[in-house]
Amino acid sequence: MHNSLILAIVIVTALGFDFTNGFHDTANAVAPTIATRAMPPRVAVAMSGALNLVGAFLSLKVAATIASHIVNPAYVTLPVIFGGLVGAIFWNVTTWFLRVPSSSSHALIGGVVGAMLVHAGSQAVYWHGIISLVVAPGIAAPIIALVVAGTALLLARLILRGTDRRSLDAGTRVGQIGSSALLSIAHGTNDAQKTMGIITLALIANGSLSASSSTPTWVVIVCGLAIAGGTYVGGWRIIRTMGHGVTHLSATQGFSSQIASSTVILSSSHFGLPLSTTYVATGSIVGSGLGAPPHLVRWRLLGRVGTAWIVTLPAAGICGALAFGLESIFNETAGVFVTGLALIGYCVAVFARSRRGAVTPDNVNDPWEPRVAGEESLPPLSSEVA
Amino acid sequence: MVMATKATPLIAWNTLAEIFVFSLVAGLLIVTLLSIGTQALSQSRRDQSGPVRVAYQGVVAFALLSTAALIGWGLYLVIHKS
Repeated sequence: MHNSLILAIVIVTALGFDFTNGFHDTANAVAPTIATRAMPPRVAVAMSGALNLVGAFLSLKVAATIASHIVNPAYVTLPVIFGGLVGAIFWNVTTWFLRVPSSSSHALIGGVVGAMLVHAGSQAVYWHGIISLVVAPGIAAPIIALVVAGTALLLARLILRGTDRRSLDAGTRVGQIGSSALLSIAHGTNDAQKTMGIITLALIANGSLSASSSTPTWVVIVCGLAIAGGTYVGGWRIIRTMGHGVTHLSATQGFSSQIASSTVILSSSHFGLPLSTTYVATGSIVGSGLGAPPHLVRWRLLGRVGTAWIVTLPAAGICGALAFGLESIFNETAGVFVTGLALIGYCVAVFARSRRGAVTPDNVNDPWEPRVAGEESLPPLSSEVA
Repeated sequence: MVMATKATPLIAWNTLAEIFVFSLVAGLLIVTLLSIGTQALSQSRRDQSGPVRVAYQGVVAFALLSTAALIGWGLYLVIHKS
């Protein structure tokens, strides 16, 4: 009985993580589209949410989860999964509050590794997998995206020279909406499956499913709905940072960065080494900022973002370890309850605090005001030039 | 998904290089097609003479269809390779 209760709590927590993954990552697909006004904010997140749902149903090939290549599945227990999820949600909510784009996948991996280290020690963690699947791609992703976006922008500016404003808006809008749609589907396919994998792993660890079972249909449905719901709610704080904070985006820049993001993400999926959509999208925006006059980005803000990227894995790991440690103080069921309540209390407090100076669809495109001491102010965009 | 076994190199340089080249070529192709389509749209609005305007509109249609085909291909990759 108590195992079924813990399993139910783990599943609900996994769906909670899926929801935060959705709203945390909305910006990756729609920030430039919203910032350049290619689509109205609410329409953009509604489209992205719907296509995330579609994406969740398209493929189940990675539902075996990246986590099984990061930790030894033989050591996985329900409390370890729960601790990892709590660490990941804690970090996602914190970075959302701080308006910093960071990888939800890295947060999940960090959380699970942290909880596993406390549970079974270092021998249960595949360090080789962490470097080859998480750290190296994490460093390469923004660099690749930056170069692709910058080159695409140079080419677009060359071809579009002399284009009238009306045609420019129409052409770049087609590109941005198409690539936003593609990114949303790719995100639903890749990220919803991570939660499907976690829930499947929990069902197997509980003995509810045999190890060779495929992901049950109800798991696919609830995960798809959770990530779509999170995306629809929209992480407006991060959308604002990516759309207006990093640099001023013209229509041509938004167009180039979106196309670069979607081709890099799809190429990485094709070659079997999925890159973080957050790192790719941020790298593309920086590439677009540097690729066109006045060739400026807000380096201080990017320094803050880079710091968050570096600490995401260890910080989520520490959160996961602390969550598992807190669970271990009590007996299994009580520990999960207490840790879950602590997480809910933290999320409610952060949400209440975020209401002060809230970012909404109505003010997401307001002029950027520096939030970091000494943050560079960028000159306003001149009249649109190709 | 790349399996993180001892046989897997610590850093998959070849895969990263493939991702870079593939995404650069695909990204530039899509940007070129859509930019040419946009430029043709702009020219067709300027040039009011019948045949030239129709030719420009043909270029716009070609650019849109080619881009749609490329996006469809991308979708195929998402479904079958992820």
